[in-house]
Amino acid sequence: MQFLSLLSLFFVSFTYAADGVSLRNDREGESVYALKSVTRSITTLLKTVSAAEIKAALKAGMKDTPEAKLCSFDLNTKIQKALPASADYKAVVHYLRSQNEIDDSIARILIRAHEAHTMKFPEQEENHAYWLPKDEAKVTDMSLALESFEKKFLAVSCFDEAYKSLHNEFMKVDKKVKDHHIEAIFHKALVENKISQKLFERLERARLSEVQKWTLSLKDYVKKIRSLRNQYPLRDVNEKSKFVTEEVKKINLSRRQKLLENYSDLQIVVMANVIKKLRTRLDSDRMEILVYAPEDGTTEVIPLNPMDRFCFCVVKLRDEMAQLRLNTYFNGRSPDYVDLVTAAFEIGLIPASELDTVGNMEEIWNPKKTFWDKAKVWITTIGSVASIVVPPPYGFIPALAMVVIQATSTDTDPAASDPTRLFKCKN
Amino acid sequence: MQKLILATLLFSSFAHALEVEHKAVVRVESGKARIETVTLTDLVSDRAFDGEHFMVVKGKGKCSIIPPQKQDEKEKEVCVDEPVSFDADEATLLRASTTYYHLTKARDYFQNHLKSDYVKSMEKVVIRIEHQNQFSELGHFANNNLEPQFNNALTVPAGKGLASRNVTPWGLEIWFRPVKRVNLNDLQVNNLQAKEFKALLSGFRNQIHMQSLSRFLSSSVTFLTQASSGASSPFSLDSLIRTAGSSLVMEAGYIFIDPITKATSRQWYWLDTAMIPEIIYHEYAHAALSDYLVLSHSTAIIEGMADFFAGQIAKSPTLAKKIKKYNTFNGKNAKRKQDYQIEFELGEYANTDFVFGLLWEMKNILGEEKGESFMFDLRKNLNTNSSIRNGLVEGFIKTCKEECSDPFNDRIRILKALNLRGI
Repeated sequence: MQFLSLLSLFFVSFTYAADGVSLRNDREGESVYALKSVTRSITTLLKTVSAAEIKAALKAGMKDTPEAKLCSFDLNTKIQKALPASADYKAVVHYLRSQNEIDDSIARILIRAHEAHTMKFPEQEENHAYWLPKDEAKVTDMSLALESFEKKFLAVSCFDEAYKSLHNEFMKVDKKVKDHHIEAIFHKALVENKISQKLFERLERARLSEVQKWTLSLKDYVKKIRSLRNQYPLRDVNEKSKFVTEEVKKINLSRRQKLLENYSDLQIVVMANVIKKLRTRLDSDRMEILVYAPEDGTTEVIPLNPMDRFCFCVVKLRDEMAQLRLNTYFNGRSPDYVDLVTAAFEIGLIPASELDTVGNMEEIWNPKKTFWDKAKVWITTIGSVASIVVPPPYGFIPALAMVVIQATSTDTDPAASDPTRLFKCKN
Repeated sequence: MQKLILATLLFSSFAHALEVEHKAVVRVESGKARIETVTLTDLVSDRAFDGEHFMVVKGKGKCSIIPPQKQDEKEKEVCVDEPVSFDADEATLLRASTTYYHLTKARDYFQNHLKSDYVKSMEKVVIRIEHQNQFSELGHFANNNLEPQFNNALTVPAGKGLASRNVTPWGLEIWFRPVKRVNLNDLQVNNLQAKEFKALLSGFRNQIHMQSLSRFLSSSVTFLTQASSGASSPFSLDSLIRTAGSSLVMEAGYIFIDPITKATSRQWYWLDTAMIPEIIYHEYAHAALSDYLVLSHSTAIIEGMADFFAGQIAKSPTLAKKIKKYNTFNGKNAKRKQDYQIEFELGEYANTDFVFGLLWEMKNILGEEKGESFMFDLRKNLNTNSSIRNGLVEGFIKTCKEECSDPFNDRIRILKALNLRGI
C-alpha cells in the first residue's frame, strides 16, 4: 500500500514535470492591476507589437528552463530580447496578465525585477570611505564576502537570491549593518577593482531596490504552487475569483499576493482547513451538546437551535484562528480571516461562488465602523464632560444628546445580552 | 328553437359568471383609501353577494326562533345563511362589496399567482360581516348572551357541527366584526413604542440625576480644597436650587409623562375591519395558508405569515395605514427595524409587526420573485405552534435547502440577517 502511494506520488510529480513549468493564472479573476492607465499602456503597446509576439516571447523565455533555474531577472531579459527594444516592458507584463498567461503574483515579481534592473542611480557622493563601518575587521570580512559574490552566490542561484545571500553574509558580520555601510563597501570594492563596474551597478540597484526584503522569488512561487496543486488538485482549473484580487489596504497587494508572499504551502494548507471545517459546520443541520453524567453513565443531549448553531460556528472559528497563532508552524504570525478564506480558495476547498459570502462573515464579529459610529464616540466623550461643565439650565442638552445617541445606535449583536442564547456571535 | 338555445346560453353564462358594479373601499395609486366603483366578478346571483367562491352574510344570517317541542325543552334559534342583498342599506352594501371585491382579489393571487392547489379546491367560503357572536369550536356561534365582539376580524376553521343541538357542519369562514368606538382606557394595549419611549426617558432621567450629582460633588471639592480661590459655594441656597432644580424638573416630567401623554393623545379606538383592504387580505391569507398553518389559535408565526401575504397582495410593506376613517390604530410596517425580544413568542404579542418585518426582509434578501414563492413554501415547514427562534428559523433553513438556487450562500445571508435582528 505504501509502495502504491509512493508510486502514485512519483507519477503525479513526474506528470507535472513532463508538462513543463507553467505560469498560467488558474485562480485569479480581474487583475489587481486592472487600472485605466494600465489598459491604456496595453493599447499603446499593441499598436507596435502583436499579441502573438508577446505570448511567443514568454514561451521562448520559459523554453527549456527547468524549475530550479527560474529567475525573474533572467526571464525578463529573455522576454525583452524576443521583443522589439521599443516595447514598454511593464505593459508587456500587464498584457500577459490580462490574458491569464501569468497571474498577479508573477506580474509583481517580474515588474519588481524589471524596475530594480532599470532604475536610475541617484547622484553619487564622493566621500564613500567615510561611511564604511568603523571596525576594520568588519570591513575586511564584508569585502571578502563581496569579492566571492559571483562564484559563491551568483553562480549557483538567481541574482535576487544571490543578493539576499550576500546581504545575509553582511548581517552575519554585523547585525546592525546599515544601508550606507553596504553602499560604502560596494564603492570600496569598485575603487579597488575587486568587482566590475557592471556588477557594481547591479548590486547598487539591488541595494536601492531593497531586494533583501523580497519575500517571494519566481522559483519560490512556482515551487509553492506546484506543491499545493500536487496535494490538492483543483477540481475546476478554470474557476477564478475577483475576491482574491481585491487590494489589501495599506500594503498595495492583492489578497492572493499577500497570501503567497507571506505564507508557506504548509501554512496555506493549515489555514485552508480551518475554513473547510467552518463550511462543514455552517452547512450542518444538527448540532448537539452531550453531557455525560459521571455517576450513572447517562447522557443528556442538548440540541442547539439554528441561531446557536450559527454562532457556535463563528465562536469556534475565532477559537481556531486564535489557536493558529500558537501553532508552531506559524511562528507567532497571526493570519487574518481573509487570509484563511483566500487560502481555502487557493487549494479549492471552497468554490469561488461562496467566497464573498464566507469572506463577508467577518462583519459579524468585526463590523465596519461608519462615520456616524466614530462620531458617536466623540459626541459621547465630549457630552459627558460638557454635562458637568455646562451650567444649568443648559446642562440637559449634552445629556439629551448622549441619551439620543445611545437610543439610536444600532447594536451589531442584539443577542449579546440575551440569556436564552447559548452562543453569541460577537462576544 | 334557436331562440331557446340563445336564452339558455345567456342564462347559463349569467348563472356562472355574473359581473356587477358596486361601490367599494379601494386603495388609489397614492396609497390612500377611496370609495370607488368596482366590478364584482364570479357572482352566481344577480340579487345578492353570492359568488362561486364567497357568500357574504350579515351576522348569523336569517334566524328564526323555534318554540320548544317538549315540556323541558328550551326555544331554539335556527339560522340560515342568506347572502346580503343588493337592496341592503348603504353601509352594509359598502362593507359587503368591499369584502367581496378584496377577497376575490386575494383568492386570485393565491390561485393564479402562487398556484395554490389548496385554494383552487377550496369550497365556497362564507364571509360574515357585522357579526358579533364569539366563535365556538362546537357550536359554531357562541351563545348570544356572551360578550359581543367588535373591531376585529377572524378566520374560523371548518367544524363538524353538533347534531344534538341542531348545529349543522360549517366550512371555513371569515368573520368581520362591527365597528364600535371604544375608549382607549378600556383596552389593554401592548404599546411597544410607548415602552421604548419610556425607556429612553428613563435613560435621560438617570443621566440628568448623575449630571446634577457630579456637578455638585465637583464644585464641593473645588470649594472645600480651594476656599481662597473665590469660587462660589455649592451649598448656597441659590446653587442648591439650581443643582436640585434640574433633577426635580426631570423627575416631575418622568412621573407625569403617562398622564400627560394620555391627555394629549387619541382617546378613542375603532377599527372597521370590513372596510380595510389589507385586513381582508390578511384574513384570506389565513384561510389560504390553513393547509399547513391550522387555525387553532393566534401565534406570532401565523399572524406574521398572513401579514406578509397581505402585504404582497397590497404590494405594500405597510398594512392598514392611511385609512383613518376606518382605523385609529397604528397599522403595521414591515420596514420598522426592530430587534427580537423573547416576549414576541407570546400569544399576546402575536400581532406585532416583528415577524412581518422579518419575512419582508428575508424576501428582499432572496429577491422579490423568489422570495415570494419561498415564503409560500415556508408554510410547509412550519406549524401553528412554531416559535420564531426555533420553528421559523429552522423553517427558513429547510425551505432554503429545498428552494434556494444557491442554498449555501442564501442560508448564510439569511442567518446573518437573523443574527443582526437578535434572534
